[in-house]
Amino acid sequence: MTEADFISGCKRGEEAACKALVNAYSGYIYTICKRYVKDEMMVKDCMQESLIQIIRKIDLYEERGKFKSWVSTVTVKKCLDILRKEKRHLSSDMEIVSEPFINESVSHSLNAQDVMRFLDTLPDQYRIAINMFLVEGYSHKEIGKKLQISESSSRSLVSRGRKMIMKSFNLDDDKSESDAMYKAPLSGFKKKMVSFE
Amino acid sequence: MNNLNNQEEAFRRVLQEMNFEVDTSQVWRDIKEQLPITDKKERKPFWLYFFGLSGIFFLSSFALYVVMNDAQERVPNGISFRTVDTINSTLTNQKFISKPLANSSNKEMTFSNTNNSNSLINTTNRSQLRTYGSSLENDSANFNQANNTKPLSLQSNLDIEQNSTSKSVSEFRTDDISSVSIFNDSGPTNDKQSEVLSGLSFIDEELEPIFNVNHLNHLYNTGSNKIPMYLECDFNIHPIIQDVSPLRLFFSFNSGVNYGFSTNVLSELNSEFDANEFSKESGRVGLSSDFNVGIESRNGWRFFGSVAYDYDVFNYSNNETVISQEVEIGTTSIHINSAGQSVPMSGNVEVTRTTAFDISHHRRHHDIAVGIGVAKRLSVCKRFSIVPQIRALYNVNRNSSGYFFDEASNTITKFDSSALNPYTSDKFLKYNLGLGLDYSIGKMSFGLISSYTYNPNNYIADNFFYRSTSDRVDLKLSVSYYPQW
Repeated sequence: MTEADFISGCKRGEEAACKALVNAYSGYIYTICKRYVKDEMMVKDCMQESLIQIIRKIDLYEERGKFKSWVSTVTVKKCLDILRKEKRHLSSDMEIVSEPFINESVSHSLNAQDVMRFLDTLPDQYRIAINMFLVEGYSHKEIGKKLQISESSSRSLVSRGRKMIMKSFNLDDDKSESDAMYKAPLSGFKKKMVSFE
Repeated sequence: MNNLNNQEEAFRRVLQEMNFEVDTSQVWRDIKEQLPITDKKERKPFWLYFFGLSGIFFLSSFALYVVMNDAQERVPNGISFRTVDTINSTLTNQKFISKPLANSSNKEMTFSNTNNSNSLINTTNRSQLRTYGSSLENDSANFNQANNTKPLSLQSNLDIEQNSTSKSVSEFRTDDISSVSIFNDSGPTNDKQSEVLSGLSFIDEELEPIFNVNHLNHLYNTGSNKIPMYLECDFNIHPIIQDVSPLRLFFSFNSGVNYGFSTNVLSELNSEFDANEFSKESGRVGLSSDFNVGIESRNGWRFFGSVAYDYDVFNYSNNETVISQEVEIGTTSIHINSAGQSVPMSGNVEVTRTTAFDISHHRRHHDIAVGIGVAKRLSVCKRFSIVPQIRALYNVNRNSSGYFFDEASNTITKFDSSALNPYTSDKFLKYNLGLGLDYSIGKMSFGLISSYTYNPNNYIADNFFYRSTSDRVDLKLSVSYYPQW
């Protein structure tokens, strides 16, 4: 079954088409969720809800752009919704801040496991901003709109996140600056949490 | 993202190429129940419901009308003219009782007449009814009846006893007795026409036959008590005498266009939905129709029942932008060889596409409502009248489709299954105020009616994050039929 077939089949509510879509895109959606959400249970929830929303709202996909891009957009939105709802139940004091990840091996070759470990140590705002900017390709204006923060805040988040990457993977020699920048976001993140709620 | 350094680019590539294996069969089992993959219900077309209901309503009204008419015809009212002894009817308002004259037979006759009935004149023998210049003063008249061989005037004298609610003969409309053969004839009774019986003076002059009863209008409408003619009834014809009913049945059908005004208000103060999205919704032209049946009094008051169908359309317009990242085959570099020729090198090129488009979504509501109303016909000139009206309508069914504002996605979203449809409230009261212009032709009247429907009720689910109401204005063509006009 081709992509066009299962898209049109999903629009008609055909079970086989929906199943084909799930088989084809579960891994991709799970990966996106994994990048945005730390907790494994939440990742699974996010993946399931994204899949449900994609199938329910597949009529909105008008086949102008790539289906994969549309899936990505919907999934990111769902991740943000879930994170936003989750934050309502957590006060900023309860926010779990992981220990910073430092890649001990001085190597410029990145592997997926290390990158994921690094992402898990990042506070939500930075992880989201880095993902949206670096991977999804959103502009600062779009990030600001989606996260309901200003464009300059988005720039700041991304900038600090990028320095964290440099620092964590020993990609930048200026360690002292990175340290300073790395510490700052944690307090800043708590402040941001208030506006994020 | 234009100024990513190599390390960041490597980091990004790792994230993009990252892929996790997922047990898709388990995922499918987990989400299957929540997907709209159930067989879509065979929904009967809406017009079937609409025309079915309209048909039932029309047939019921017609049956009621027929039954009412049938009941009226079976009542022994109107003029009952028999050459038998006195016949009294409990329903009579007027009694024309024949009193025996000195040289007449003992036969008595009773005329009865009601205000709202057809009347039949029945007789077993051919009879003649004549008035000889009767004075008819004080709503009384003397009639002579002639049998086959002799003028009635020799046999009986008719008196009209007028009770308090009855009308005089002069109030009979000419069309009520249109089938009566009226002429001036000295005929078989001229030998006795000069007689004076019981104080009546008979006219013994020859008058021209009158075949068109409409010529008698002025005689009946002037209130004159002098009728210088005599009437002869041919009882083989069974004339139908209709009285002017104070109430008339009418049917009307109105159909036209409408325009809705929706109002959306957030019900949750802490909702994250951008309320500005609401301003992007506006009404579109829809359809409105209603069928009414009721009664209209002689002074123009109408009381009626309605079945109304409305088709409302709302539109959401927005400019949207979609950014997509794609990898395509393109020119990665251009090599210039020793000959100075440019040689493009193909390869994977990452392309960021930004697509901006105007998007327009529609939401449609089909409503069926029943109600009652009152209207008043105000005559403007001869055939034109204006008709203000007010109705209370109870919405009994609402069928919605299209798009709604979704909090989760903070945008407008299509609802295509009952699970997603937030427009679950379909039972509510609404009020309609209208003003019409009518032009009457015979039993029909045609017109234009404009009305405003006020609907204060929230027609979205109560637990939804916003409330939605809508009012409507409409302009309809109207056609009415008065069977008893």
